[in-house]
Amino acid sequence: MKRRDVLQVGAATMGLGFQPWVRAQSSANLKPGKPYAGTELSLMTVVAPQFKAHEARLPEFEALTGIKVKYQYVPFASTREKLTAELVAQGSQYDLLSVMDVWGPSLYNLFDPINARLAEKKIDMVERYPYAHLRASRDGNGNGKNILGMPIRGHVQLMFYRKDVFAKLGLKPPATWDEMVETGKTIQAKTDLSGVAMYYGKTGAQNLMIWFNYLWGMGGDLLDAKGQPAFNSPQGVAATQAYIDVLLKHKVAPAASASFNESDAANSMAQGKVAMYPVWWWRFAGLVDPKTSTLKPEQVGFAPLPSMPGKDSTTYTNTWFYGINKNSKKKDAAMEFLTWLSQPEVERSVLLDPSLNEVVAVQTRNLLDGDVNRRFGGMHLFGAQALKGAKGTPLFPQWAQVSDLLEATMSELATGKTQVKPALDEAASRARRLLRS
Amino acid sequence: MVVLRRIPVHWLLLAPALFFVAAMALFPLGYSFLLSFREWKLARSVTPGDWVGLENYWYLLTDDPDFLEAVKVTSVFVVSNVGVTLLVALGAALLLHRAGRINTFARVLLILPFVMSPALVGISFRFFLNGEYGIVHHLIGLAFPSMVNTIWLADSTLSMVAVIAADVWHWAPYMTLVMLGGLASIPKETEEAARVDGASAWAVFRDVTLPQLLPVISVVLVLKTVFALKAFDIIYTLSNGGPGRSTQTLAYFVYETAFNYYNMGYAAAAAYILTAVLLVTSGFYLRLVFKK
Amino acid sequence: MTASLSTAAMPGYQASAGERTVNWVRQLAVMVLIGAILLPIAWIFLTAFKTPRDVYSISSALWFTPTFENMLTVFREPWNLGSKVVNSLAVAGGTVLLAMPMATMAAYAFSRFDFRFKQTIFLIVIASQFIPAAVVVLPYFLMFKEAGMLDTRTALVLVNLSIVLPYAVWMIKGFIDAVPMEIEESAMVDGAPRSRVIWEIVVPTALPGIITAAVFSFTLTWNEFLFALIIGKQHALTLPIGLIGFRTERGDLWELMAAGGVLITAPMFLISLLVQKQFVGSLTAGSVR
Repeated sequence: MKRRDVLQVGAATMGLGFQPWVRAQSSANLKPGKPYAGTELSLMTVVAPQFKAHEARLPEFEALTGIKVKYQYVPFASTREKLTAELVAQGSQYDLLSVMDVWGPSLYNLFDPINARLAEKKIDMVERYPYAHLRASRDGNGNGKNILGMPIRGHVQLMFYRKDVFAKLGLKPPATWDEMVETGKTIQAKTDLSGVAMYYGKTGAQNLMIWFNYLWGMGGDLLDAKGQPAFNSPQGVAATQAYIDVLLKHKVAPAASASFNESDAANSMAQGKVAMYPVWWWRFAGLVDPKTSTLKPEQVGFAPLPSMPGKDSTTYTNTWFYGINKNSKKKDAAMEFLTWLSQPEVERSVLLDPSLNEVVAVQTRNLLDGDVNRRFGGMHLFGAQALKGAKGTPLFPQWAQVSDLLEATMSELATGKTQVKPALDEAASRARRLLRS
Repeated sequence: MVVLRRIPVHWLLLAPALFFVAAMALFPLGYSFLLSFREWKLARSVTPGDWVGLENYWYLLTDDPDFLEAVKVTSVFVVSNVGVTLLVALGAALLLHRAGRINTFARVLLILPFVMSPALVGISFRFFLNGEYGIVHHLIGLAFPSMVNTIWLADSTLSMVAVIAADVWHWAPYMTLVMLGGLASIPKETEEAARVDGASAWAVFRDVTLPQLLPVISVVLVLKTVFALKAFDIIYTLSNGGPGRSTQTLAYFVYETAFNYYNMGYAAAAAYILTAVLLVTSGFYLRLVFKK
Repeated sequence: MTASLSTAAMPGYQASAGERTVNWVRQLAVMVLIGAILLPIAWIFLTAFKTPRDVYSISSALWFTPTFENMLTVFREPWNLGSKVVNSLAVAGGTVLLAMPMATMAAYAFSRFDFRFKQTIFLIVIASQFIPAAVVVLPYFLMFKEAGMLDTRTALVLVNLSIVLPYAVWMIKGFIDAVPMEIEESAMVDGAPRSRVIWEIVVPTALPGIITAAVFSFTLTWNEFLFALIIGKQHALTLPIGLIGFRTERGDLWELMAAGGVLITAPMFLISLLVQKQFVGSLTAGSVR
């Protein structure tokens, strides 16, 4: 099936035709007359090409409103600590803050709910954002009433693969995890590449990102209906076994995968050592940039993540949002900024910027946009499709500890020194203890 | 000033440093100590919660398998780390304690590992050991062919070795400098007198050099123990406490509990258990030092 | 440094075969030592001049096209290592300049006087450094917030002073202990005030110790990370913060970190050369007595 056909089918399946983009004027509902001219806002964020692209567009905002926004970059690895300090001191060092949902709902106490402001600006969050991203910006474990910020960065998982190798061997991107193993074996037999770059090392819960797909795909879950650990259920054990077997039993991942984190695996792919790599879509840029990769764009293909046979793919997604600091004294001006920044047009202009290879998009309209999909070969339609069935980060308060527990368990299992069922049972009993508190 | 003359000189001399340390450290230490008797989970409240007495301490010591595991890991880490550092520093100091261009060059190099940021050292060692492109992994594979496929950071024992090696690389050269200073202040005459009396090199070392070196050795011992117990950045960036929890030390545990689990009171209690251990051991050490 | 055994310095001395072997082994050991220290540093140095593509490959380990891109990038937005280096120098320099006099006086007091609670006070001063930083950094943050001193280099100097003083006092005390008291006592009997005694007799003799403490304090402050992270925001950012900034969502940008590492190591190498001369000079003077 040609790519174009896939796109048509995909779009039709979602009950929408190609959305021709109507060049509209700024849809932001900014207050007329520049009432906040001269205000200076301070935004805490991290260095990412997407955010840098936003920063480059700030002069436009300043011209419209007279508000100056200072981007204060904090090391990505230390953002939690800065946010904690801000939270504990109930400070107003920053007017706007960014939070990633995986850091847990504790940090959500930093923000001022913006429901009333959204209504005033006539922003329809449900229309704008897929449910998977929207829930991350709500309180109450994703089901609360209060909306705490605007999703700004959100990710979808894809399977990147070597188009040239697959073409030479007559292979198709795998549709199920078992197919991935078979494809991997073929590749390892016929070339000197490894099959798939997995990452089981302990770093920031990265080794859980793909595991979630296995777990949910097999019908397992983290917690059961009573809120007790359920990942050591028979489905959980089977899922974990299948996940670990990719390395230990089938050996279609490079041996070093046991210690890899996500970027080690990216480097492995970029160095041409491995033929498949399941990861977040934004890794695309690094795989085709001659400064960071030995691969050419025509060698890098992508496909939706495999799923369990006969089931729909249930992928994992995570979301960042920007919100207004509860203690800020410039909340109205801050809302002006959020209104402007979160316009679909801004996101779209970054996506279509020829000087960047930025694929990150969180708004439904942009995910379905014709120009965007033409530029990135339909990646965003895949993304929109994946987001429909995607589950986000668990948002219960003890998640940080449970996640740490699970990632330690996974990394230990990958060393081959422990068995799946006892390890998961032990983790479940510790998790039960944690959830009691 | 008349008043000043009435105050004993030693208080005047002590005052600046003492006053400063007290002024700066009093509030933070007091705050965190009191916090260890309260429950404070940032997820539930932005301000410290109820007073729970010794509950945090009780949980840690009796009901927290992670804490106990961290204690075990820490013991192994600290004892090996300090032991190896001491031996390397002493050996290197004896080696370099003589004239010569090469020795002088080596001495100039000794400060370099110490001034590198621990995070940089940790990350670099992590990349050195990478199974696909790590230079150390590669060289070890050349020297010991059976280890060509060993993935260091996927093995609990080897990860611990790596973490210790990184910390020793970071600190031992500096400790060598300290030892060299100690060796230099031993009067040559005592060693020469023993030699003239016909003692062997080893006997000279054991009976003359070593006893005079004891003060410096004890400084190195205690200093390294304190910093080994506090080591965090290097472990965080090298192995992230893994695989599993095999390199998760107490310092790591405290950090995670505070900044990842947002369990502030509990973290404070864990920190003060660590402090209590250090207090007891240094109490003994000080008794020795002040006896002289 | 004390020279090698005096017998070997005698003219016409012929080393025995056994001694020659020992010397040969010694030379080898020193080479191994130098290699162990230099290999990682050299590797980091090489990495600083590679593109990311060449960094993560063993085949381009030694054969690659060098690039200055990394060294230039670290000075630009958003990394701005230049200003961070300046801040680090200011904070570390300021801390050491303030710490040394205070620590020397206190060390002298602990060494030369006997008074009640001496041991306890000493222990408490040192014990202030036993608490893991993770647990005290937030109270410090609150303190500086109340004083309106957040994001200032002064605040960092104050924090680092409190970190560094205990170690400096302890180290200098050790060196002062080793200096016999007779000289001071006879000078004071001759009528010299204690301040002159300290300045003209004790300090010069304990200079190796003061320099050791100064180097240690400088390095501790230079590498201090957590307090700088929490207290700094825009104006008081130091080098370690800059380095951690290279741990991005994309992973550890080792080539940029290595460039930062080169920037740290090169000046330190020079400083070490200078200090060595001083260090060696004082040590030799000390051993002659």
